Amino acid sequence: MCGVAGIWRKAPAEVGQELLTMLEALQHRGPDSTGIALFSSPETHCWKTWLHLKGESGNGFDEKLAGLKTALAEIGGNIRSSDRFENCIRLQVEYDGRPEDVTGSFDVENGMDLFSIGRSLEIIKWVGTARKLVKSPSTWERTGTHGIGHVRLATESHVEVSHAHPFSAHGYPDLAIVHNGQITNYYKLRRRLEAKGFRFFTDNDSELIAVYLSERLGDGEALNDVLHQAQADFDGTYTFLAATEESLGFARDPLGAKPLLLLECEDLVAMATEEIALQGILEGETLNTIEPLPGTVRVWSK
Amino acid sequence: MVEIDASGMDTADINLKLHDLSSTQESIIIRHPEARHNFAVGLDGSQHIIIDGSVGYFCGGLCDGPTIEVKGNAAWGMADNLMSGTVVVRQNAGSVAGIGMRGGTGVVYGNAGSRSGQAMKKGTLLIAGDAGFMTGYFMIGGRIVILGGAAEGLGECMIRGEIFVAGPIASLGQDAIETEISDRDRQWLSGLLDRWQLGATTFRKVVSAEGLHHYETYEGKERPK
Amino acid sequence: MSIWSKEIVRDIRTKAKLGRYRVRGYGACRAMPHFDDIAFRIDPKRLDEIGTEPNCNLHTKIGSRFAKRPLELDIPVMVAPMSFGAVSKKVKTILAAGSALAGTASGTGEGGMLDDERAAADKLIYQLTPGRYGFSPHDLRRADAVEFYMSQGAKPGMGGQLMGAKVTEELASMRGIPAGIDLRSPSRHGDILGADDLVIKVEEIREVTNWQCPIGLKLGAGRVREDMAIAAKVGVDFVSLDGLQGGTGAGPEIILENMGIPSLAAIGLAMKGLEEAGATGEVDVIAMGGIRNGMDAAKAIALGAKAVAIGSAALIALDCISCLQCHTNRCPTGLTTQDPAQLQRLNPDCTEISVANLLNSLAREMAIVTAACGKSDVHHLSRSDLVALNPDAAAITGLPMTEKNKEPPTSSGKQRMALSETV
Repeated sequence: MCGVAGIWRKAPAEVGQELLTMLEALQHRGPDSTGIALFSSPETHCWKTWLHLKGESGNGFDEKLAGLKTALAEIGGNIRSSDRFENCIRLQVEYDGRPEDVTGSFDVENGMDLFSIGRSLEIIKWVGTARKLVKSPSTWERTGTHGIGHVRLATESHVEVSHAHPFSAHGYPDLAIVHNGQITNYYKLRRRLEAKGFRFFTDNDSELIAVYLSERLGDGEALNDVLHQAQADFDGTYTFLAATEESLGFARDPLGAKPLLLLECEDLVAMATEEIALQGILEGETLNTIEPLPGTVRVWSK
Repeated sequence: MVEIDASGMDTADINLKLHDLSSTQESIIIRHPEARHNFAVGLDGSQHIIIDGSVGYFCGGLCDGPTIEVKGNAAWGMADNLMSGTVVVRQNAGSVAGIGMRGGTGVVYGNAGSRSGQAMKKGTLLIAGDAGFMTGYFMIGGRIVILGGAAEGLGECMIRGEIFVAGPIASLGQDAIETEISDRDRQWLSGLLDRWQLGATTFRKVVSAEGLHHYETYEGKERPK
Repeated sequence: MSIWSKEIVRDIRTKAKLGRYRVRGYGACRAMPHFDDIAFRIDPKRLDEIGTEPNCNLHTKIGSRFAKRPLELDIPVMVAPMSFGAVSKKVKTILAAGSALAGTASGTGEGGMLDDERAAADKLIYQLTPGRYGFSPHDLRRADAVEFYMSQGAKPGMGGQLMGAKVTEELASMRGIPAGIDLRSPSRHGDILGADDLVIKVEEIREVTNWQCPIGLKLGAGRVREDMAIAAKVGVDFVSLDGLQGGTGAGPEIILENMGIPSLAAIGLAMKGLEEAGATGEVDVIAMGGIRNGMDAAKAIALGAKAVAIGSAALIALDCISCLQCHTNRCPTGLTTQDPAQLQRLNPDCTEISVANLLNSLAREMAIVTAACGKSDVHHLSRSDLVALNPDAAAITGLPMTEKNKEPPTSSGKQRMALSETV
């Protein structure tokens, strides 16, 4: 079904491009949709958001933008810049208050999905291969400190970009996950979270991981502890990567059913479903990769 | 020495070329493998193939005869269902190394991933480093030799076969037990390690307790005559 | 009918002694929606097109999607895979020879390819199973098609099973296992843990077979829509779709009766799955699981299958009495046994001719149904030729209940109206 990739760097670099290079190498595992989540230098008075326009491409972009401007003005925010890629809008929203206020005003608009909101985070995902974004002239922040990416083999009706990874938990800022595998107790866990008021926007089991993490991270738990708790609660197969403003981590299921290769060196930590992905961004033929043991959780933090 | 540059070649064409060289006496070296999948699968012949770099899944899979050496890492399923011949990986191998082996030898100089040797029937899987979770899962015959440590679940549900471990064993799998190592075993191990230029050391032996592979009760006509 | 029937009472008392699940052969036998619940409707306008010996094309090609050499069959019915182990060596040869006489294919099932079987068969489908018993690249290359066993209709989610009494020295040697063990195989391939791994495994087998023969998946019907979309995406040529009624030589009884979905439901869902993946008509579906005659076969094809396979029916043609005790090694008709004494019970009149006769009967039945529907090619049969005979079948298949109703009933009110309309 999928391939995942992640990079953690000590100093900012062209992480966006590196992720795309890795994902291109993994595309045979998931040719249908591709996505990246990039963490770049944080904005202080601005929220970076990515929104998806549902429906026919090209329809209503300008009307929607105007509608968003109006809704944001009502909370005292305004749009610093807007860019288009496929059916998505990248909006930089100048607003000093809470992210929920921003996402709350977005809810006013029908026919839109919120892919990400954050001081650092941008989630860009689309139907098609990694090549599409590489060749696109659209504006997106290519420099960052860390990020994760995903290629997907879709099995639903028509390939829906809202089902593509990375996922965030609606309105929770600066959190992204990518997942390879299948959470078999998805419905049970989802119902529990819905009962607590959390919202789901797809029936994709990977979205659950983002929502689950957002609850505990929101309560102030450290990513490492949350990932361990996730292992106790999730049933099924998984290798998933989770990234926040400060951290990047992964968790593998107890049987290690989905592969993960890890490479740690001087300047960076890179991980991917297959070594071929790492070959693209590192010099030399023979890398010192390891496959972490099943059941491993690891987190890198600033 | 025959050189094949893998970059820009389809995997199918590489394998066809290797197949055409099945009786060559010269060594064949493949450059720029870039961790791609399915190199050198389904070959029967006496080729000596060196892969100058890392490979992806199933390198040396379903082969019957050739000697294959990977200078870098191998991903999942190296020596998949090997019939005879040798597959050597100089660095690490991923999960299910040697799955379903029916003969021949697989050697991993680095670490091997989980369920290495799963369902193997014959042949030898030699791991110089550590062996992953549930190594020897559902083993039916053959031998696994581990010079490093073995992770949890060693020999899980093994039916037959022998696992020799020099390093620490995190835990034994269901129906796997430690047993006495014989002098014949020691001689065989010594010969094996000499051949692959690895240090001889003391081993523990793990086999099947043979408790899981019969139902405890039978009804009516099921009862063996 | 009481929930505490004689059978349930006996079952409970047996388990009080046994302490585990019960094992038997065959598949789901209890009443459930099947092909009898749908029917063909004849178009009166085409009655004058029916001849007495219809010139109906039955030729069937399987696996044209990517294989250089698809399977070419004279008739759209083949013998389903049954392992040497489940059945005897003699039966394997008879089935293979019978399929060859009828110009069609048979399957090795689990456990490897017998030389006798390969020699007797014209077209032979080789199975890759998680246990890898007897699996070899040499047999791959002499196969006419390869099928990856993911699961089977009788026991989806579980692996192969063979009781110790049937694991003779000969069988053990062929499979590479010790004799006499109660063999239970892994339920999953160790190297295929998702569609992403499957893509790579399919490529490996394509490489070994030089892209010549069709590669397919054997699937027990479960989440058929999702599975078919995956099959289309990973690039296989065919899917052997085995419904709940599909048989086995041995499996846990509760699983056989309750795990999976009926063949009638599976085929339509498979077509939906392919449509959703944008692959209509690309992946050939071979439907199996309770196919008893040419009418079941024709209905399956009208629902969208390219061909069907018969397993239990083929054994019944060899005098199987459906006693469901295949796993005991004491088959009363000498079919599913490895015991030399028991093998003597095989009826000498039951030969490959019997199998070929059955296959040809099904073919001729399909031919006359096709002609009666005013068509000249069995593959032109379609959903528009079918009706459902009751609300359950209508709901399961989406077929109309009568000529008058184009939509299946969705509520009891609408049903009442529908029934009164037909009266």
